[in-house]
Order: sequence, then C-alpha cells, then structure tokens
Amino acid sequence: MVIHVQGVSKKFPDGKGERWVIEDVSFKVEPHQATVIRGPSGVGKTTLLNLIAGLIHPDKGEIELNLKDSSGPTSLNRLNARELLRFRRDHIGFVYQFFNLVPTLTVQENVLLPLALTKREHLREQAIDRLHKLGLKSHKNAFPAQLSGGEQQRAAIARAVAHEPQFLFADEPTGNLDAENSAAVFKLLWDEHERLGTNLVVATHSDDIGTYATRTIQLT
Amino acid sequence: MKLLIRSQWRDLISRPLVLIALLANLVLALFAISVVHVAGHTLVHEYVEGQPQSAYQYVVPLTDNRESSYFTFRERWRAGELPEVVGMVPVVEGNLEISGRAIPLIGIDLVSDSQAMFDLGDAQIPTTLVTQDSVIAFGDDLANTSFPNDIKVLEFRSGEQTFLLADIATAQNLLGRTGEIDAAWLRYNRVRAWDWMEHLSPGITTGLGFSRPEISLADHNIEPMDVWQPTQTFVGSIAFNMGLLGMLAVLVSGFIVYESTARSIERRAQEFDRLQTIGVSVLQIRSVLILEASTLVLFSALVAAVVSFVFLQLNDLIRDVLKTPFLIATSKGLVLGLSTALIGVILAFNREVRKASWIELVLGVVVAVAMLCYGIWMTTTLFGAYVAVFALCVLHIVVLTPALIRLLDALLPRFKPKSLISRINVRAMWLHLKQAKFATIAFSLAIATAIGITLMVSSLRTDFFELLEARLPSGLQIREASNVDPKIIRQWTGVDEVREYFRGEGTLSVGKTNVIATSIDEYEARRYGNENDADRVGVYVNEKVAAQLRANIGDELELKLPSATPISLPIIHIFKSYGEMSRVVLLPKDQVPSNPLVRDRLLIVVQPDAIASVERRLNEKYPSATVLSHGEIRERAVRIFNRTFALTNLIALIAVMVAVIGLFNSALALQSAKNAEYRLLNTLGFSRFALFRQSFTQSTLHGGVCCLLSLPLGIGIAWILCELVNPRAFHWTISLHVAPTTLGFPLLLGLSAAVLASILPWLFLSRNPK
Ligand SMILES: Nc1ncnc2c1ncn2[C@@H]1O[C@H](COP(=O)(O)OP(=O)(O)O)[C@@H](O)[C@H]1O
Ligand SMILES: [Mg+2]
Repeated sequence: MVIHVQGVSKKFPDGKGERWVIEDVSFKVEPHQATVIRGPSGVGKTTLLNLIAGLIHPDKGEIELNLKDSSGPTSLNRLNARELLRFRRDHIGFVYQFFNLVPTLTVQENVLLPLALTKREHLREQAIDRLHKLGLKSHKNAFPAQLSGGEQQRAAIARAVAHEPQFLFADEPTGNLDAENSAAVFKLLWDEHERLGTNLVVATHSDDIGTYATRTIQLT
Repeated sequence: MKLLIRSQWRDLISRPLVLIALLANLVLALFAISVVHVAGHTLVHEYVEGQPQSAYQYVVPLTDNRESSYFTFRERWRAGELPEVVGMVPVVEGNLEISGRAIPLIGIDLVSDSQAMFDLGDAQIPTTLVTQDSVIAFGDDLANTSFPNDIKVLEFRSGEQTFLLADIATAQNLLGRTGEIDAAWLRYNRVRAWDWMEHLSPGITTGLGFSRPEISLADHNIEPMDVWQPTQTFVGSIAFNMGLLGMLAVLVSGFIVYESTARSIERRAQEFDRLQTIGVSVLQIRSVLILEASTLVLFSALVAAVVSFVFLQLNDLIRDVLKTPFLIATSKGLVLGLSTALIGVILAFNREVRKASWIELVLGVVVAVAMLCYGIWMTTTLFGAYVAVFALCVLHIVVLTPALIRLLDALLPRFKPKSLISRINVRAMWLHLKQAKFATIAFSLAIATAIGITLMVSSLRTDFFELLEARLPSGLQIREASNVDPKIIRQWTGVDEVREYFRGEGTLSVGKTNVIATSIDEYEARRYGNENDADRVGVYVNEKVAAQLRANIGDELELKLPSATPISLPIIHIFKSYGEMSRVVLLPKDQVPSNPLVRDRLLIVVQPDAIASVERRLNEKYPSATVLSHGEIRERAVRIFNRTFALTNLIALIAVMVAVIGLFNSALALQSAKNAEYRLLNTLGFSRFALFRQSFTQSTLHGGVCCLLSLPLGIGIAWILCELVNPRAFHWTISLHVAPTTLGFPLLLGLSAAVLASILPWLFLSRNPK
C-alpha cells in the first residue's frame, strides 16, 4: 500500500459557521494503481486531492504515504512546511483543470522546470522526447497562451511526469476540453502511469474514465 | 440601468484596494492643484496686487524730474494724445533713512486721478493720508521699527514688500525734493483680453509672455509697469512654474485613470459582452463607467478640498481675502480632474482600436521636434520653455518608450539566463512593463520630472553656495549702520578693514534698479567673482540688468539716481544674484553723489579668530545696529533656499506618489493573474519565501527599467530648466551639473517606489496562494 487515508475530515469556514466538507474518509491505495475519485461537483474531490498532496491539512485523521526513498510510511501530519514542500517537489506531479503552465516560460521550459527544481537533469532527454511524442515538437518554443486547451493539457501532463514522480495527481484534467481531447488526455495519463509505474489519482465528475480505472472511490 | 450601476458599484467595492488607490491618486492630484493655485495666488497678491502701482499699467519716467515736464505731458494727454490712457498720477520716489536702513518711499498725487484715488489696487487709501502729512508703512518688517519724529505713520500694513506710501507733497518734503517729480503712472482703459486667465492660473500671463501693447508719444519713453517693476514678472514666473507642476500631477493621474479603466474593461470584457447579448447597449455600459469615474472625481475633489484647506490654513497661506481663490482652485481642480478622468475613460474604450501607423508616428516625431525647436530657439517666453519640455515628453512616449520595448522584444528571446527561474523573472518584468504600459509611462514621466527638478535644484544649490562662499568671506556685517563710525572700528584689534556700502534705488532705461555703491577694488572683485582686471573704472550689474538691457561687458550703462544728473559708466562685470527679484547695479562710490543713497551697511573684514570678540564689542557699543557674521548670513540664505524649494519638492513628490499609486494599482490588477501562477508554483514546490523573492526580483527589474527609461528625459528636463526656464523666468543662469550622486536620489526613490508598489499587492493578496 502506498497511500493510506485514515478517518480524514476537513472543515471550511462557511459564512458565519463552519462546514465539514469531508467527513471520516478512509481508503488505501496499492502500488501502481490508477485510482479515480468520483462524485458530483462540490462534493470535496479537490479538497481530498489537496489533502493527499499535502497542500492543506486535515482537521481529523491521518494520511500516510510510503515514499520510495524512505523505509517506513511517512505521515503528512508530521511534516513541517519545508518538508511538505520538498515532498511535493520530489514526489508529486500535479495536473489541474486549467492554468498548469507558467505563462512566462515556453512549453519546453515548463516541462524542464520540475527537473531544475528536483535536480534531475538526467531526465532531460526523456522529457523532451516525451514532448515530441505528444505532438508538441513544433510548439515547444511557444508560450502557453499560444496553445489550444488540449495542447496545454498535454504539455501539463508532460510537465507533471517529467521528473518521474512517484505520484501523479490530476484534478478534473479534462474539465475544459471537448470529448475528443478528453479521451486523448485520459489515454495519455494512463500511458504515462503504466510506463512510469506512478501511482495515479484522478478526480473527476465525468464517467468516461471508468474504463481505465483499476480502483474507484465514490464520494457522496 | 439601475441594475447596471449597482453591479458596477459592487464590482468597485469588491476591490477595495484598487478603489482606495484610485481615490488616493485623485485626491493627491487635486490637492496639488489646489495648493499650487492658492500659493501662486497668494504670492502674486502679496507682491503685486497689494502694491499701489497695480492700478497703473504704464510708467513715463521724467528724466529732468521737473514738475513742468509732467504738466506738459499731462497737457498733451488732455489734448487727446494717448486716447487710451484714462488717468495718470505724478510720482516721486526715493529712499528714506529709517533706523539706519534705506526704505523706499513712494509719493503719489492722490487727487490727480479721481477714480483711483481711494482704490489704488487693493491698497485702500484713506483721505487722511493727504490731510495729515503722513505715511503708510507697508511690510511686516517695519512693524517693529522706530520712526523718526518727522515721519508720522498713519498705519502699518502687513506684506512681503517693504516701502512707505505718502501723498506726493509729503514725500517731496521728506525726501527734500520739493517740486520734483520722477515719473507719471498711467492708467490704461483697456482690460487685457487675457486678464481673466490670471484667475484661472496665477502667473499664466507672465508664463505666456503676454505683454502690454507698446504705446508711444514723441519725446517720451513709455514703459509697461511690469517691466518697470520687475517683481511682478518674477513672482508671476514662480506662480507659473508651480502651476505647471500641479498640472503634471493631474496629467499623471489621468494616465492612471486610463490604465485602471482599461484594466477594468479588459477584466470584465466577457461580462460586458454578455450584457450586450441580453440587450444592454454599449452606450449604457460606457455611461455607467463614465458615471463611475465622475463620482470618484467628485468624491476626491471633496476630500482634496478639505485636505488642502487644512494644509493651507496650517501653512498660513490662506487668509480671509483669499477665500475666493480657494474656491476657484477647488473648482479648477474639479474641472481639470473631471476632464482628464473622462478623457482617460473614453480613451480606454477605444484602447484596442489600432496601433499608430508609421506615418502617424513620423508625423508625431516631426511635430514634437518642431515644438522643441520652437521652444528653444524661436521664442523667449517661459511658456516656450515648457513647450520644449512637453515635446521632450512626447518624444519620450512615442519614440523612446516604444524603442525600448522593441529593443527588449528583440533582445529578450535571445537572452536566456541559465536558470529557468531567472527566465520567469525577466519575462514577467517584461510582461508587466508592456501590460501596464500607461502606468509605466506615467511613472517614468513622474520620475523624470523628479530627476529634472532634483538636478536643477542641486545645480542651482552648487552655484548658489559657490556664490555665497565668494560673496560672504569670513567677516561681519553691520546693518542699519548709519550711526556707526567706521574710523573707530578700524582701530580695534583683529579688524583689518571696514568697508562701507550705500544703498538706494535708481532708474535705468528699462526701469527701476537697486543700487549699491562701494569702493570697487580687488576685494569687491573677488566677492563678485570678477576675474578681469579690477583696476578699470566702471559698474557691475547683475544678470537681470544685462539681459534686459541686452548689454555686454564694455557697454555704457546709463543710470539715473534721484535728484542727480544721469551717470554713464562702462559695465565691467556681470554678476550672478540668485534669488534676487530686482535689478542690481554696483557702483564705484567715488563716482556717485552719496546723498540719494543711504549708508546702511558696513562690512568688517576681521581675522577669523577675532570674529567673536569683535562681534561682542560691536553689540555693546552699537546696541541698535544689527550685527551679523557672514556665517550666520550664509546659514540664513541656505534656510531661505531650502524653504523656497520645499513647495517645489512637495509637488514633485506628489507627482511621484500619484505615479507610484498608479503602479501599485496596475500591479494589483496583474496580481489576480499572478495568484494562479503562484498557486501553481507552490504546488511545484516553491516556498512562500521563494515566491516573495521572485516577486521582489521582478519588481526590482521593472523599477530598474522604468528608472533607466526616465533617465534621458530627466536629464533633458533638467537641461531645459537650467538653460531655458531659469534665464527666461528669473534672468539668472545655472550651469547644469549631472553628478551621479545627485541622480542617485531620485533614481533610488523611483526604484524603491516601484518595488514597494508591486510588492505591497503581493503581500495583500497572496496571503494564501491557494
Ligand atoms: N478554501 C476553501 N474555503 C472555503 N470553502 C471551501 C474551500 N475549498 C473548498 N471549499 C468548499 O468545499 C466544498 C468542496 O469543494 P471541492 O473540493 O472543490 O469540490 P469538488 O472538487 O468535488 O467540486 C465546496 O462546497 C467548496 O465551496
Ligand atoms: Mg474540484
């Protein structure tokens, strides 16, 4: 097991009071699984992903991850801000619904950014190759604003996996795309997941993804 | 429509920082306008309108001083010559020695011009002045002076200028010049078509170089009063200079309104599109935006009025008589603010229309260059000098800024720092520069102005201090020194020499001049910076005299002292006299009769270690005289210098502040886009500190480029201020010193302001980058 979510709850301030968005959620993810978090909009999928990625802290419960380079499980609760930062930088690739690319960097530079941050320059060739395979060769010196939505998401995936992270999280990666592009993006996520053996967690409210999932978590 | 307004209102208050910044902007600009207007008006009022001659527009000097010449002149006028003149008074002028000082006395025949009799300008004259043989003492510094018994002072009036006013008979008696008349003042029947402009902007007629038409009569030299009496031009020039600075603040705020409206339109483009699809007309949307801008200006004008009223009250610049100027100033600010804001908003609508074509660009450059040439070579007005400044600004906006943008456009893709983070920083700075182009322009204009003013003031300071250094060598001065006997002091130990100075007023062909007579020897040559041979006999004149007479060294100077035959002597030196409003002529004592002059000053050349003891001894022996060491005088001069430029610096600072707030505003607008980027970088593993450092680097780069951009314009403005504005306004020349240390201050100010302006929104908005 690589991800262990135990009785996690999260509340947000809501007007005057507070509201529990996630209540007592528990699940385990085994290595190399492709997990899909499903549920209607507003149910807390993004919140859950952010919790697992260490972007926000749970109010109750604990999240443990088994990281490649450490012996035992790591509890996110016990990491300080700097350790969380390093954890995110080294072990996670993230794809959002939109705004995944730094607007002032070219596509290729965006893809190389995680390599620079994690000092994994030896992956440079692979990262550029991947970009070419994704059909972005002619766009690699373009800035994100010059790309279509589908191209942007493909570049975003290339960036998210460039440093070959142990976890790949995607939050509604196709939310902004048409059916054709959606299918392509999903396929891509799965290809990379299989090739690199990352642990993929996708949050989505659409159904098209079902066929790929090895594991589904339904939030209600 | 109501709903539209409500939506606009909600949008506005949903961004309180933008709203506050915009309001602060407008308030500052309108405050500047108000203060500058009232200060200018006060100045003009104190120095010009409060003077008895302000009701008269021309002067006819009577060279022979004879009453009969006046009557002949008057007869010719009665007979129909000079039909435009509707009244005249004979005048006698001279200096009275009062407590050892030479105080100018003006005697007017109050009954000969009935209409002006009780209304000499703003100086309401009581009839008792005629019947009781008395004088009115003008000037704050006369209030504590003790007058000799033969001078009856009817009343004391406050004011900046020191002089006495009397009926002509009284004055002739006091001056011992019975039956003599110096000049006739003429009242002109035509109100100048542009006189109302003075109410709108004090000093503007001086700045525009409007002069009265020449009128002439055979055998007589008729001079306009403002030439005759140079104070008016001097003061008008100061008011004009300040007025333009105030306008600058409004102009800069116009850019800011434009920028922020354009940004708001950009941000809400989709919303406006959607509104249009449901049937809201473009006109309605625009009306709402215009309404919004107008409301903001109105509100700001209200706040600015209160703030400037308090400010003016605190600085004692506003007196009861000046309530009307304050109202004018406020309404002027309102009108200017409204129109600039509206122009800004309307221009913002048409933002995307098109880029200027090459032809238009070339045309713009040609016009700007033509304006520059006109301002520098084809006119001698102050206005012309500012046309040149304006042309430089236009060139800055249409040539330099786009050129820099193009240059960077070409260079940046090639410039690839190794680190990707540096690439982000450089490009983000670049984007910021381009997206907030108008804020950038406004900012660089303001910084350039600050640079220009700082350079000019520091150059003036350098020259002025050099002058003080030479003019005030170690020594002591005794003022009001008529009862001090130089022979006695000469005997004292430590005293090398006692030099005598005689003062009074005289007339040149262009008008009145201050006259100082002393022995012009090697010592005096050193004081006045005359490096030529000191042995030649002749006079020294200040730059104002030389400029107005168009005279050079070697030319003969014709000078008339009261009740003396005219003197003619060669000019042997032209000296600088910064801060001096009047013409000044320095005469060799042995060439002039001393009776029209008053020995009001002694300069005691003392060995440096004896200054204190001699000063003590003088104070004991002559308690009524004022003893000052040259060190003290220098300090006083420096204090006055700093005070003079305090308001200038304040207004320039306001312009910079307005620009900085504009930059802040645009940074705020760009921040919302940035927030998404920060969230992304945060998930990629950037710490908050790393993000801050990035933001800081970008702002510093941006500020640095802006400052660099404003440097050429700033130096250009400084050059015009030194080479054109000062000589034209005040007839003194300043040599421009561009010292890196002087440039440092405004540049540092600009840089830190730019950094602050872009860092603050970051701190406000990105508390939680999620
Ligand atoms: N930072 C936050 N502050 C307050 N409420 C939040 C915050 N983030 C999310 N929420 C609320 O939590 C709920 C779940 O949000 P989210 O996880 O984004 O749902 P989903 O991704 O499933 O659409 C929503 O009702 C949202 O309003
Ligand atoms: Mg979501």
